[in-house]
Order: sequence, then structure tokens, then C-alpha cells
Amino acid sequence: MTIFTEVLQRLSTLSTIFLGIFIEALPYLLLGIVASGFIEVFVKKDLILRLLPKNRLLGIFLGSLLGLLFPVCEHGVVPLTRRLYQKGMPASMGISFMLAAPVMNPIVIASTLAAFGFGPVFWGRIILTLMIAIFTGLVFSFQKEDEILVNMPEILVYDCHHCGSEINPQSTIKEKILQSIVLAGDEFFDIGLYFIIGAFLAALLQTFVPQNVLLAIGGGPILSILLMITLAVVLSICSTVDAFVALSFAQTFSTGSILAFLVYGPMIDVKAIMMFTRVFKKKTILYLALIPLFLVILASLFITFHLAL
Amino acid sequence: MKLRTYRVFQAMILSGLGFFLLNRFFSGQLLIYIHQRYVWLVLPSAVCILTLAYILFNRRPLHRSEESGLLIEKEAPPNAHWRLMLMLIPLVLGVVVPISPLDAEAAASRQVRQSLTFSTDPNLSEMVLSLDPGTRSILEWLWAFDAAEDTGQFEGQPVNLEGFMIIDESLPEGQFLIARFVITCCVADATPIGVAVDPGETDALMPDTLADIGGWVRVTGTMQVTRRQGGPALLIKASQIVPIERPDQPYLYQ
Repeated sequence: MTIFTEVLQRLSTLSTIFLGIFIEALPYLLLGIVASGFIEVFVKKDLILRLLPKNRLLGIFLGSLLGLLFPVCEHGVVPLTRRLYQKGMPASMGISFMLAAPVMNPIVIASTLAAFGFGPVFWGRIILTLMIAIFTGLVFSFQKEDEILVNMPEILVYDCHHCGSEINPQSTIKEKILQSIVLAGDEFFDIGLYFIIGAFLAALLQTFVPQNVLLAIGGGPILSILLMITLAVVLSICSTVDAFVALSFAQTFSTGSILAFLVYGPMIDVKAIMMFTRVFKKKTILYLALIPLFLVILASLFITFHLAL
Repeated sequence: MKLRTYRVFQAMILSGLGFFLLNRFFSGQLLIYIHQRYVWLVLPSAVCILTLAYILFNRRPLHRSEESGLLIEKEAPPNAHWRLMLMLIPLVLGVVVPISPLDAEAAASRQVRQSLTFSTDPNLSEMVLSLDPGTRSILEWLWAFDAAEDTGQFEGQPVNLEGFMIIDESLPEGQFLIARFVITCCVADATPIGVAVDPGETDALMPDTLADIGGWVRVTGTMQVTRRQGGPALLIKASQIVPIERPDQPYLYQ
């Protein structure tokens, strides 16, 4: 086989995997973007501020459950969170929302139930996700808002760049709908762009890091947890279906490591990190990836050794 | 770049993407990328993208300056060129790179699984075991094997499978796997699965080197249950191996 055909074959595998991730996630991404456009135009800032609980703790707790109202997976949740930040949601509440929503929503709960039944995996996934999202939110609640988020006025100015003077409280409903769609289009060329880069990186990893190498490592209780977490980050599959993928590993890996896959994967993967750069400061992103990582590892080890599942 | 120009390019890229998706939808080629369960979702996505394109194209703002009364053009967001170019990635890959499903070449860098966990639901087990053995797919064979309490029942059942050939180190020399990719959601989670084949007396489709394998074949024969790596395992005793064209639906879906 010549190098040329080898390269061509790799390229076509890469292209197929990339388009697979892209086309599969596109409907969910569009949903998040359109919802975000509508919130920008139709929901007034003071309404959000009035609805949010004054108590920060309560806010974090509520944020982790908000996904039950907004059924978005990890592809839609980032644009939505960004918009909610611009509307005045506290950073810590947004973080608990963003981390929990990809699991705490009706579609994902139903698919996890379909794959695993009312067992330890089902309850473990929900409870661990909530605990980790709330804890991470709490950690960030001690931080100043402007240390967590990228400059929000900057984003606002930038958005106004396109539309600013066009958004007018007196606009007709039709005009408002058009405005929200234009915003959605611009969002697609903004956060959607980072999604595309992330999906491309994930496809690159999958094409050039053979799964043989990964699966050969799997063995001991600790290694298998780390392995399933790596797999979750590399595969970058949508949380609405990852339960079925996890099921295919259920035979080979411990319940603890399956849970690590199902809890960490929806929170952090390559695409999510790329999209985070439009919302959070670099340091925040680092902690956003690390805090849940340590908590997931701890929890999975506890489950493996103490609950003997 | 002026905002008006940016809007025109945005609309062009979006409509390209929309028509690309529609084309793949109606040609049935989406099955190469995603599970059939999610194919219908692509239609509203394409319509949504085309709507975005149409509205963005019609929104090319031109503003009259309040001071001078002159028409002023707004500027596009920073790095507009880069944005537009990167947004072309899906379209370029989709159109330029020849479309090809994952096959033996992709399977070679993954672990081909020869066993799968099936549901613990007894009703489902009964269903998969009651399938006519001659029509079982590779996936259904592995499911049935996992669901069965007595694997002896498979001994001598007729087998009729389509898949690509691949060599696996776990098999004795001379045997190969007949394999296919299983898709749960999209090709990102594609996993190759396979059943061992003993070509027996069937003449010579035997791959000499890895470069020769990867061809699609239909294997007919009977099932045997052997022991491998300390446990029972399926092995097809082939009576006929015929090369075939790659099927339109190259994957199995779970």
C-alpha cells in the first residue's frame, strides 16, 4: 500500500467520523442556538433577575435542575448558558446548570433508563451528576464573576455590532422573530464554529489514536476508570445516546467506570471545551475540567471498592 | 469586511450546507454517518439552516448616519475571513473527500469485539433466541450467544452472513473474522464486531496479507461452538464464501 492511498484512506475515515459527529449533533446545536436567540429578543433582563432566587445556594441547586425545563444536551447547553449569563444569571448558577443539564433532562433520563433499567447505574448517574454540578457551582460561588467569565460587556458590544441598534423594544412581533433568527445565525458562526473545531479534533483523535491502544490498557479498577473517562472525552458522543454506547462496555468494565463515563462525558469533552472558550476564562475552563474529573474519579473508586458494584 | 458582504458569504455557506444535507438525506447516504433512528432529524435541521441563510441574506443592513445623512455600512465581526473559512470545513470534507463508510481499514486500528452484552430482560432474550438462525445478522448472533443459558443450542444451526473479512490475532491460523461496524448513534461510536470463520475446504478466498483482506463476502455454513481463551465461542464452519459488493447499509444498528 503506498503512502498516498494510506493517507487518502485515513482522510476519508477522518471525514466520515467528523461528519458523523457534526450531522448527529447539528439538530441539538441548532435547537440551543435558536432558543438562545429567542431568549435574547423576547426575555427581558429584569424578568430573569426577578425569577432567580436571591439566595446563591438555592440558585446553584435550582440551576442543576433547570435542565428538566430546557431539554438540551451538551451541544445546546453552552450557547444557552452564555445567553443566560448575558441576561444576568450568576456565574455559579450557570455552571451548575451547564454541568448538570446534559444529564438532567427528560430525553437523557429516558435513554439511560432504557439502557440500564432502574438500577445502580441509572440512579448513580443522576445522583453523581447533581452532586458534582452543585459542588462545582459552590466552588465557583466564592469567586468573583469577572474572574470566571470572559468580559460579558465585550460580548454584548460585539453582538450589538450586528444588531444593536436594530433591537428596539417597540419592534413588532414579526420583526422580533426576524431579529432572533439573525442572532441565531450569528451564533451559529460563533459558537458553532468552536463546535466544528472541537468535532474535528475529536475525529482526528479517533482516526489516529487506535482504540486498541486504549482498550489494551484497561484492566485494574483504577486504570479502567481512567480509561472510560478518556474514552468519553475522545468519543465526544451526545449525552442523549451515550447510555447505549456505555451498555456495550458493561461487560468489560466495572460499574464504577461505566458511571465515570456516563457522568464525566456529558460534562466535558473536546467539543465542549472548545465552546467554553467563548464563555469562560482559561483558568475557569481548567478548573471546570479538573474539579468534576477528580470528583468523578473519587466517586467511581468509592463505588468500586466500598459498594462492590 | 463589511457586514453586508459577510452576510452574503454567511448565506452562501449556510445554503451550501443545507443543500448538502438535503442531498445526503434524499440519496440515503446519511446512513454512512449516523444511525437510521436519527436520520429524520436531519430534515428539520436542513430546513432550519436554509431559513437562516434566507433571512441572513435579506438582512444586509445599511444605515443612514444621523449626523451626515449619508449611508454607512457596518463592519463585520472581527476575523470574519477566518470564521467563514472554518465554517466551510463540513461542506468541504463532505463534498471533496470521497464518501466512504468505515470498513476493514478502520477496523484494523480498533478491537474487533467477538462478544457483546445483551439485555438482561428475559422477554428480549427470548425474542432474540427465537429468530430464525439463517436470517440472524452478526449482531443478532452475538446477542443470542450472550442471552443463551445453554450455548450448545447453536451447534449445527445454519449461518448466512454478510460482512468484511479481517484477521484477528486471537484466532488460530487460517481462520478469520467476518465483521461489521455497529452504530449506536453516529460513526463516532462505531464498534467493529465479528464472528470467527473456519474456511475449511472452501477454496481460497484466504487472505495472504492484511492488504488483501477487507473485501466484502457472504459466508454460508453451519455454526459450531468451540472453546477459546477459556470460554465458549462461536465459530462458523463455512461451506461457501462468495465475494459481494458492499451493501447499501454497510453498518448494523443497535
